[in-house]
Amino acid sequence: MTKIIAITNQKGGVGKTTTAITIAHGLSLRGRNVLLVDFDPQGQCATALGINPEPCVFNLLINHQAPALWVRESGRSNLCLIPSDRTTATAQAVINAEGRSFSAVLEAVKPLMRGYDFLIFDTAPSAGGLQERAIWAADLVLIPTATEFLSSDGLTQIMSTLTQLRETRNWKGKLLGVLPTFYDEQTKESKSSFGELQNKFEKSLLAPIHRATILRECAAEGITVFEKDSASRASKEYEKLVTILLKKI
Amino acid sequence: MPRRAAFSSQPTDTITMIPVAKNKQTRDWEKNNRAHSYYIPRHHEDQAIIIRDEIVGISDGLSQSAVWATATDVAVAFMERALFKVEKGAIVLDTRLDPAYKKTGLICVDIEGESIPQMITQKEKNATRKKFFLAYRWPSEFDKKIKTIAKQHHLQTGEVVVMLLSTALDAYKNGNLRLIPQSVTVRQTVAGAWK
Repeated sequence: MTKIIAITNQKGGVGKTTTAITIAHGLSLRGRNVLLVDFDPQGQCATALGINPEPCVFNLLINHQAPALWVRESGRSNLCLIPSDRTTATAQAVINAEGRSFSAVLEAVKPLMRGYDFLIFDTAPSAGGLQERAIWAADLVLIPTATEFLSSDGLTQIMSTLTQLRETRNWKGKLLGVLPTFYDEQTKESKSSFGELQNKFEKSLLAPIHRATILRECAAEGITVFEKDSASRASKEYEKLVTILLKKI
Repeated sequence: MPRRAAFSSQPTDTITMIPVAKNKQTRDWEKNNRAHSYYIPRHHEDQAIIIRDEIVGISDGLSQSAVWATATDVAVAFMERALFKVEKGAIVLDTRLDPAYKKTGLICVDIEGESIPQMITQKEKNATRKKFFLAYRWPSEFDKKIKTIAKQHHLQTGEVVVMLLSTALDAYKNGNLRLIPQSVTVRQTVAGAWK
């Protein structure tokens, strides 16, 4: 059965896109058919994978043609992408103006689900209506959070969004985990923040992804960390994360 | 200025209300404790069915008296006792040729080389019958011992299993073997609940 995983956090710059593309590629390397859907108007999933941003998510949501028309090859086996660009923000405005139901995103991607094992949603750092609908469609939610005070503070906002969706919209999804990113045990703040996350989330806290220059280099080169250096620490950490995800799904 | 705690002002409820995805159920225990299956030869089938049903009956009887034991638990206890007795020499296996096992028959052969249609033999008829197996999830050590005994006496493992279980069953019926409930440790978990 196809599983939808939403990578979300209302705080920006916490590693959502990096996590989304790396997990998507990691799952595809394990032989799973993966479709990455970029709901962020910045359209950086495509850029990070070395392909051009296109208004595909806009078309998927607004244009009532076959959804398969908007799926793009990523150049990697088992991994496809529905890229996005700034028109996604327009799509969000249209959806809100039309007062579409919370199942709008799920309905849009449903015809594609048969061909894939996983749909990975990368979401925007905002709560403008589209992100909530993307979360509502998800079976599982992964929340990356940078190990710093403001990110931890922002984490409670996304948690209350999830709670609201559960209470008022009957969202049935589960929390895959909270993923600490940009972890640097050398700095006091990172350590304190990680300690707080451990106390707060206990078992739902995943193993941290360390701050790594290689991840920034990958984005610049349009490749994933598995392609850049599969022996690097970042690569190993994301590989472990993929293993954990597969155990839970 | 001292560092502020990130979650100090937040209610804890919001975090605990979202269910967390648990690890998928694995079949590791089943893989490590495989059921051992034994083919029961035709002439032992009826006896094996009686033994199997009686073992189930005993486990049901125990369960009714609040001793939760499965048929496998009973079979393990019986086999443990039987193997112990065999090792001790209290059960001696005396094997002899079984006339029911081998058959001699006549086949018509035309000396002029013309083929003669043969009647369907008993063996062919039986081939359509479903084979009967007894399977219990007992330790591999038991399985090894059963196979060793079978090899030593040129028997099929199914025959050995039927024979050993039947001796233990007889002992149980005669009152020479009693099944005493033993507590086992089970893993417990705690879950929060609220109204």
